[in-house]
Amino acid sequence: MIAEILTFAACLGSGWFLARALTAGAFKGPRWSSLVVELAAGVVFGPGLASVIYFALAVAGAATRAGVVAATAAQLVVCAGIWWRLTPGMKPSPSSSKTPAWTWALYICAGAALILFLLDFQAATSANPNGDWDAMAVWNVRARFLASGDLWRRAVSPQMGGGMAGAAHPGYPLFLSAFLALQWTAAGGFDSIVPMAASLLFALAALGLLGAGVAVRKSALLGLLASLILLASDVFVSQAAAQYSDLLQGLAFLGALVLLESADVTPSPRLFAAIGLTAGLSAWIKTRDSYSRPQRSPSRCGAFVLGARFGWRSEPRPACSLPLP
Amino acid sequence: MGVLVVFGALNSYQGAKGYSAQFPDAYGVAAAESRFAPLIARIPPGGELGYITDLNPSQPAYSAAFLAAQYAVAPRLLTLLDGRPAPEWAAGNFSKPQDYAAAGAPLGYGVTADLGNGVVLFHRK
Repeated sequence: MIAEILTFAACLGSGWFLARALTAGAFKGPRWSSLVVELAAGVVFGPGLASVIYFALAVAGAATRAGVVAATAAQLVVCAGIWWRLTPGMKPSPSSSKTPAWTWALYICAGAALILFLLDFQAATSANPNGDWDAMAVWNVRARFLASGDLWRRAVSPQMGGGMAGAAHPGYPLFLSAFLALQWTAAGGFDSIVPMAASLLFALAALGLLGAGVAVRKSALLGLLASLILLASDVFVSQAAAQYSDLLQGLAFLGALVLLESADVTPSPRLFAAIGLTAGLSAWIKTRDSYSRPQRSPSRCGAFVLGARFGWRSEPRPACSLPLP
Repeated sequence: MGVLVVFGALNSYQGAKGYSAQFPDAYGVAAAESRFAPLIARIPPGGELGYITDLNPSQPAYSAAFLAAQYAVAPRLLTLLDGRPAPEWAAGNFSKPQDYAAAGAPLGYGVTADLGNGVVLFHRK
């Protein structure tokens, strides 16, 4: 359990170091909002890089407890080194002090909604601790294979799921499964708390990133309203306990958008590296139909991010046109 | 707006609480982990197991039962016995008590142990 917690914390810590190094000075809003953006980006960076390293270790036959702990520690040290060398000194941004008098009421509502969100998560997770259908059939079962030494090939085998079409998606990428497998390898067992904690972490990061991403560009009040709208979404709340990779992918897409938006104001090579890392890791999370159309999801992701950033619009379609595939 | 959000979140929570109470272990994973525990104690983690069941593949319950069983026995691999070389061992996953030997015989398997709760360990003849 201790090794599990330490590797989990080391992954998050390394992600924050890297996010801090790559995005320092990029956000003009209050410090708390840029800190939340850094933490949320770190939730993508740290576990994402750890999952890539873990998969390499598995392929090399070195995904043992000692190997995983050493690799995670090395990742933390390297990311801390990057943070130490690259992070520029920053001047504190002037924060706007004008907020409507009734803002405190929104904070109370946000606190209440967050508590209800956590209660919802607890109710759903206690009934289904292994998550929903795809968690059982795809993400967590592949993590079990990946966490079992030389048996990692079963996580990408067409025989997984009995070869039933659409049952187990052995062609999906391995961000989530490899991240879970890393914790399970460190722990030496398949503790269901790991996917629960990861799922909650990704949901909270998405919630925080949405609010902070709006706050750094507009205002803290608008950021708070954005988070409130997300908390009101039944789909978002129910996905938090599902243990799927969809929330994680949404987090990566949102992270790429927030960073790209900031690059417009404060462009820097470090920030573009962060954007590339976030968008690149999003393609390591989930690619729909990757067997038959491997190019579609990453290209759609890229088009989505770029299109949203630069406001590209397709030409209006004639009324009689057929929908494009 | 804040009040509406709180009511929306409350509505979500009540829905989740009701669903959880009505459908605990909705996909049968916890039950499968409990049922297959005696079987995984007998098969090494790298083992491959054929899959024998009384459920019809056309039934929706078939894939749910298979995937829950696969999750429970992982990293052991469950394989369907559809013409591929038969593994040495097979896992039986039955929805009701019946003549397990008769279920395994046409596939070339004999009963090694009835592990209870519809779980049977077969060995290739």
